[in-house]
Amino acid sequence: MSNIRVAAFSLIAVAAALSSSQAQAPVPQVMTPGMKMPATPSSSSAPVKVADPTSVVMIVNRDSNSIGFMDIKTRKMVGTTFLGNNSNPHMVMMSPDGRYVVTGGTRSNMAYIIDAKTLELVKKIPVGIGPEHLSFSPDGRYYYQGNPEGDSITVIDMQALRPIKTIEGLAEPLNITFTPDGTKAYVGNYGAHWVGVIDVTRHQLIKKIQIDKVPGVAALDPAKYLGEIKGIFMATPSADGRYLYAADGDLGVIGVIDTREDKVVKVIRVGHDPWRMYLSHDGKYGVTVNNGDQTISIIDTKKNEVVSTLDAGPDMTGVNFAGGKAWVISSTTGTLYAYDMKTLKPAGKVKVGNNLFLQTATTDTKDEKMYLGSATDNSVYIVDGKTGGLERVANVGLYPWGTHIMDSKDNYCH
Amino acid sequence: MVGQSARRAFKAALVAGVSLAALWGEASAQPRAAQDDRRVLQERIDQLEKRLADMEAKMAASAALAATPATEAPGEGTSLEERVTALETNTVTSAPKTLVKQVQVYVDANGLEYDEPGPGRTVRTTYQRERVFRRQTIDEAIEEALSSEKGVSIGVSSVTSVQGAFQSKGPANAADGHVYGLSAADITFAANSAALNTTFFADVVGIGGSPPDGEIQALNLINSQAARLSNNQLNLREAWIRTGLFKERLHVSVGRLDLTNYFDKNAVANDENSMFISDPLVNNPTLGLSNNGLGAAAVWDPRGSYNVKVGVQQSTPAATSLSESVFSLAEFEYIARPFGLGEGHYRIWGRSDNSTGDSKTAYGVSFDQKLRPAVTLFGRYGSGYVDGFGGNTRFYSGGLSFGAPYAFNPDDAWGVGYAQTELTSGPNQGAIERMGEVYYNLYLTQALRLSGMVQYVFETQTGEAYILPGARLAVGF
Repeated sequence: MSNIRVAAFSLIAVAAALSSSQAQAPVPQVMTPGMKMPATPSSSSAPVKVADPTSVVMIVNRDSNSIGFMDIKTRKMVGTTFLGNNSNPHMVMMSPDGRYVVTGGTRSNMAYIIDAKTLELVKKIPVGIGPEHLSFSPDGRYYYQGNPEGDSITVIDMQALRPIKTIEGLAEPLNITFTPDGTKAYVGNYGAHWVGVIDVTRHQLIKKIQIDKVPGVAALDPAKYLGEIKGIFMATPSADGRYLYAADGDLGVIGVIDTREDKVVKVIRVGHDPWRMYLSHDGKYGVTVNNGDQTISIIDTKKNEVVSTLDAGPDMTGVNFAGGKAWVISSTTGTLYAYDMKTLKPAGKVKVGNNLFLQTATTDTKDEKMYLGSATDNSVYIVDGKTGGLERVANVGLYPWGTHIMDSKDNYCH
Repeated sequence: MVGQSARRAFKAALVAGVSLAALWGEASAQPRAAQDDRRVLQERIDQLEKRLADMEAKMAASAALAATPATEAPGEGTSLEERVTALETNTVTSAPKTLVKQVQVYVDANGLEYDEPGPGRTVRTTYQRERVFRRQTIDEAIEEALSSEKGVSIGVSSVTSVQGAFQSKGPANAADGHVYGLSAADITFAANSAALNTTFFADVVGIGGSPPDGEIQALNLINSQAARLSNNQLNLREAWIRTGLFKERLHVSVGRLDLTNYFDKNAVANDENSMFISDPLVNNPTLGLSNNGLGAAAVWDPRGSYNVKVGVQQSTPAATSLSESVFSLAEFEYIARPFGLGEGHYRIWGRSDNSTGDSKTAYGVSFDQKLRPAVTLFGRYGSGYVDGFGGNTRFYSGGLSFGAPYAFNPDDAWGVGYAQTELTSGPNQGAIERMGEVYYNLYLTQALRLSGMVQYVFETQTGEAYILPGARLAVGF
């Protein structure tokens, strides 16, 4: 009898939710496209906590479901924006005009928009399933939120602060790269071996660029090619934005895409299971971390060929450029590996600590210091790019997953 | 999108209805009052289904009106869609999780604990349970549970090689036309303590078969699989503990070691299971190590352009004390990029051996230099007294290794190499061995590789020369 009641109540609950949606006002916390919202949060009477958006490091605290804001000069937390239980934010980014901070809640399927000055949560917007990485169009008008578990991108209009379209047809979209003129966006699909091209005017997927052919021997290796696919994490732009470098994990290559013609102009073989390419700040070299063979490949972006393959460590999550070096984060060993970007040779390593689970880092705009999230000890480590010296800022929030500084050249996520 | 959502809800209602219907039969044996309850519920369900059908029709009409390009203003239907999404998202129950984490706190002279630094407070690291609100998918929960399992990781691998011998020169030998085979199976055990920066590793290998070295009298092994091992026996190849010191710049390994894994390494000519199978193209014979044994090795590697290694090892299974047959080795390795080429590793080593009672020395170099991203030049040179040859020996080798795009598949590799060993003193003074090999290593799957190789060996001592085509199958998990 109780089973019948449960089934009946479930039915009634779903039906009631559907029917009430037409008759009742929306849930206050969830701002839907039908609701009217102030165009900007300037009317808020909340005190200003961050006067200069470039003065703070934003910290994604996955398990405390918040975004922390740390003053770069004083190393003190100036505020925290709580997003809601079980939101589990993944990546944070400042809008190009410095007005908003946005993040996607991976387990709440929401995008969160925060006033960058008052640190108040301005709006929650329902997006697709499992939102993770995100990007802004160069003019700041559109916020593209990738939803890898939903195979979609939600397009949010940052003037109206509302979603205007969901771009479907992708395969685990992880990162979005806009062209400098903002007319096109390129999507790395980790669940496939192609890069999606989006017409930003229509917010529509218009092309799929195959990076390289899957080798014929793949038919013999279902464990690799039909198991957990490791496709394209991100298409990294060259310094002038004309070319994109898309690393493919399973294929072990980087496809160089000419954005004028939307075609692959060269395929560069790198190490095993490359994660993505990170571009040096002078644009001369790209570095891929190859977790399959624990090496890095350094690519000359003029010649478009590998000029150095060097030993690194396991579970690499990112690369930052500071103090003339490339700093590679080996997550599970708690170690940073340094490489001299002039000699293209190893330049030492820094053991951050034992039992640490390092995440990703951002670099300040002077290319001097890095701000590294360390999940297991709830800390951010400030790393001097020249000396490798460490300074720990503890208790920044639970499970700091990533960091972000406005205008940094090393804003990325994993 | 709108219609899909309504259909999804409608399906949910139908599923619930089906559940009710399924339960109906079960409930027939129940008292009549219960059946009345069911009838009321069934009527209610019918009413709700009708309402849902009406709503679906309305929303379909709404969606048709709103079907415009990207900048359309979402209509009532979209709103409903998002409400349903929000409902689905937020109705999942998720209990808070507790984790014990390392935290940094500030303690004053009275032992009071603060989150922030202040006058008279000292920083301390402690541990504390924290409550987190983190929703996990089942996949994540399983992955986390599995990764938290602590234990020993076990690996198994097997390499089987088949070689044929065709004599091309010299007095007739029984080896001409014979086929040889050798199979080795390894079981490896590894355990790691991240907190102590310490690793334990053991490798037990069983090896058996008939390699060509039984019938062809050569200075060096034609099949390197059996090097430093006893054939047709179970061997403990290695068993050691390694720990990292000085922020892991110094690694010290102690136990039963194979010092060829530390000294005289080469990026493209160092592994008989996937590269060249000829022993002089795997290791420098002037290194002189004939058996694995008890020893220690220390590697100072600050992860810069150089590293330094020292090691000591007993290299005979017949020793009765740790003083016998002791090899002492040292090596300096430098990473260079000469002439704008890719990276190259240049190593110089020296060793002494007291197997004969006196300290006998040898030295050598080993390098691998990338000429192109997929082309590597390698070479070795060595000179000194080798106990196994009973005299002074001069050795050199060189060759090229290729990868994709100069191979059929991306993970294939092939190489061509030549090695010459000359005995300059001792009972076989003047003996020279010339050995060449070309191999192709075909990647079949992550666990399976097939190699084909052709070797050429010429021994001046016997005047015999052979061509040995062969194949090698390597399986590893």
